[in-house]
Amino acid sequence: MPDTTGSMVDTQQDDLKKLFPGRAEQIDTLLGLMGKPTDPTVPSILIYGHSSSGKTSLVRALMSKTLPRKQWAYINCIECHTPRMIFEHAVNEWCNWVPSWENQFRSIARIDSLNDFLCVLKEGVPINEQATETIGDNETRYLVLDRAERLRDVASTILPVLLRLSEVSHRNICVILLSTIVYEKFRTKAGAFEPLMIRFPEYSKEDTLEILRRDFSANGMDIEVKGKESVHLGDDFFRSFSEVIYSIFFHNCKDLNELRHLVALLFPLFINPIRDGRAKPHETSKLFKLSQPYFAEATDKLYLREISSSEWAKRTSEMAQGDIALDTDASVVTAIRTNSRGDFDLPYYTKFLLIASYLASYNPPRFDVRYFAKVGEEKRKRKRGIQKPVHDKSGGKMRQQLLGPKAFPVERMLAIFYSIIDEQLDDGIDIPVQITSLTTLRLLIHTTKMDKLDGAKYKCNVSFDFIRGVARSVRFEIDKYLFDFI
Amino acid sequence: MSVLGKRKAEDSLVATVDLDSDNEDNETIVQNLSLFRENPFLESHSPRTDEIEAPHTQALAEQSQNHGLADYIQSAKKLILDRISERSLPDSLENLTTQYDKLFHLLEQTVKTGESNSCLLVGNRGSGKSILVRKAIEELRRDHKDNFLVVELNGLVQTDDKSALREITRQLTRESQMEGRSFTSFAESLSFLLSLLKSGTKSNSPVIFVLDEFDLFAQHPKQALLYNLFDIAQSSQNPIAVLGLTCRLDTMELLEKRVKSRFSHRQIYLYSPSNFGDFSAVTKKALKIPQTITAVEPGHIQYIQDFNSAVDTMFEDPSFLAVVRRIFDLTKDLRMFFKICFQPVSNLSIRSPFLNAAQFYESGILQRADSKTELLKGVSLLELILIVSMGKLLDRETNTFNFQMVYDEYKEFMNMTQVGGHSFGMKLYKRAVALKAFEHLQSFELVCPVESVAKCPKEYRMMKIMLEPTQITSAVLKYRDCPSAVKKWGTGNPM
Repeated sequence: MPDTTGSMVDTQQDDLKKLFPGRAEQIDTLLGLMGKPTDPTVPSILIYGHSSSGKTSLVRALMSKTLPRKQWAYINCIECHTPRMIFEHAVNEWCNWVPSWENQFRSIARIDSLNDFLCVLKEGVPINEQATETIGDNETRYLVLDRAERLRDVASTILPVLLRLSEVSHRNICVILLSTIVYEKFRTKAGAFEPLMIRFPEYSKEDTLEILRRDFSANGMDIEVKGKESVHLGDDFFRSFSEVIYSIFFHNCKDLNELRHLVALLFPLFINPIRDGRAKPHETSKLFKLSQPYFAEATDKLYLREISSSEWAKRTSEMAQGDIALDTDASVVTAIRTNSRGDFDLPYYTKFLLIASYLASYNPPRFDVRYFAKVGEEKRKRKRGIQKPVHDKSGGKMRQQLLGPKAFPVERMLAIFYSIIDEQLDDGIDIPVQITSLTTLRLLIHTTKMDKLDGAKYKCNVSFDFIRGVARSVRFEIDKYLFDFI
Repeated sequence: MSVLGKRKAEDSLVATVDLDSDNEDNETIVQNLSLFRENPFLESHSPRTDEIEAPHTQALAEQSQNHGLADYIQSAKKLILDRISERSLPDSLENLTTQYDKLFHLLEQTVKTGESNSCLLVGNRGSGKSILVRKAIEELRRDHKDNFLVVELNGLVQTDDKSALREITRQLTRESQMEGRSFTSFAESLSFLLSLLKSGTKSNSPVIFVLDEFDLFAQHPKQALLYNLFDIAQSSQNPIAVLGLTCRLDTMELLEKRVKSRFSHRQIYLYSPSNFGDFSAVTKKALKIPQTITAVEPGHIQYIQDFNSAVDTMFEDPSFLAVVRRIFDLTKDLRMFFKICFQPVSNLSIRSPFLNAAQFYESGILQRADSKTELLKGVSLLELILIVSMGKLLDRETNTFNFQMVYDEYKEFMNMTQVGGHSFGMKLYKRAVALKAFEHLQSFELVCPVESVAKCPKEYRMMKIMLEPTQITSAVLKYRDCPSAVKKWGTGNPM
């Protein structure tokens, strides 16, 4: 018996290894631990590694290739956020039961708690009048819990039991937890059975490029060149392109899914010069030079998701079709730039109110006189003697600019406000209403309790870039009024 | 090597049997093997005669030799895996004999003479509480057949008295084959259970209650279950024994006065092996195959001998002993050792039929590796620099910080390197890009917010880093292709 299954397992193993570059060691370990279907296994395994390091896809592929469907259950703990959902889904999958309209979308058994779950495990699930499905009697059943860090929030008792489920239930069940978080964070006060740890290390450059290459169509692609015959682009071309992308991004982003996203969206831009006949496919450096402006500017937008990928794709395809003239190369970029900043217009005096609250949030009150008093400050200062500059032990790391906005009493803000507007305020302007509208826009935050009307305090909730834009629009030089800003 | 050769010869004996069938089908080979096992005549064959084999049968012989070996390996694997995953009980509990005798005597009193008892087993995780109880119950089963009932509860599973009662009735009714009754209210099931237990006399079949995670039962409101159980144990009704298993030393303090007064105050303390000799003896025993196993074929007996001697030589290997020693010094926890055993044991195969020290060493390193530092190997350079920036803030005794401060530190560092001309292609990333990297770190919980509720914009939210300064330094040193400027900065050397 072991001979044929052995060779079968070997080919499966090789297939999996081909499917997942750079994961051979982990596949061997996992398959070794799983052993034969009836072998006893480790009570629990924790697979941890960075996001998009292939944890979920590898485990699912491995399970579906090597085990019959009933032997394993895959549960995403974000989807199943209550004990009931976790347990019912697990038992459904173990019994090959799919909730559908025929069975009124019911689960095969009602399991409300851990207690019920263990009952089901011990006694089996009645499928119909005659048969009951026993779980983990003979062959090992696997319970894969993705995003296992969420289990900590479900109930404090679930995780310790799941970690030694086979011992508590006396059944052959192996629990596999997938998480991006190290086990230290799972430990509870009372302690628990420690799972076996398997780390999925980060992909090397070669592995990353190999995975990126898979996104490219297997037969290469043909593109039309203006006025000439079409050019065939092969794997090598795509590889050199992915290498360029990798070298740009690996310093700030190693997430494979991010890279795939960028590769997919930037590829049309990269091959544009070929389409126009400005460059040949083998001239990688020229191509790179031609698409450099987009890469530098647009990648930030794409990486930070300031523009949706569909919008991006639409624009690039328009460009490829020649709807946008070639000399407006930067049009994509500029078009994006204009609507990225939250440029919404506020009434004139409301802008000053916002500026005043920003100043009140970030300036220490003791300097208000220096900045805003119409009469000179020097006289008073000389009386008290010159204050020694306070020596900052933290090397300027505790200045207000870095610490964030401070709450200020509304009276102080109003004083600043009246000081920074030059002309007399119109009678028709209702300041409290303006403050309320700024609060509803979440530009100001009310920090005191709503029922307390006296001494209300606010915080300014906008960034420096934003307030600079606002100040510029009313021609107010905010930089001069800020203390200790760099 | 001579041992191996001998076994080969013996296994080629199996091949002669296969020759008759002339069929490579595995099923028949298995059948033949079993045939061979039962045939004493074949067994008495001298291996020497079989060494003269026709060359064309060599492949077949190889196959079936592997086949026999594969079976032995499989059974050895299963045996050891069962043991280290704590499914099967160890043959003896060397360092727990006094505790075992005490417990067994106590339970025997209940089962034999109908004395009610209560007892608390206190010991660290992995010190063998459950094993002790299981072993005692197993032995009682052997002596007294099914003259007693066992009810197993777990404080983690039965989180309130209601579910605990339901579970008790379920286990009792199932085991005593009584008609199933379902209860709607807590009071009803309690009264049923009490009547069930109180109606009995000393001659009734005794019940052993095993309460795992006993301290959690004490946290139930009013401790009604514990009160009732201890009350029954006190009054001479149906004989019961209540065993509480806990790893909390202060469990007694958790009990209410009325519960405490009904408890017998018997406590059994369990300890992990106190010296290294005991510890390594237990670990060694866990990896050996007992000779008592029913091995008929000479090949199998030989394999067991070889296997055990391989284990013996492994325990003489200094690097292996260092692994065991380390575990002993750190935790004395047998489970830690078992954990590193899983991989080598499951890797037993025809290619490597015996355990060897190198595998253990490797898996020991894998399991004890500091997972945070390992995780940090995979972060991007920007994230690493941000972490070093946080480390610099920590040096200045700024223990909580927000993104702005970290970014400021990062900017300072970049200015410094650019002025010094050490930047090596590192560029200063925008605030937003850095913020994304910062949030990525947050998703790994390497950086955690101080307060659970955000009260300000996210870049000002105060955070703390969940790493030690030494972890940061070692992460920098282990990082692949780390620019020298970052390395210098991260390890604290002046530029």
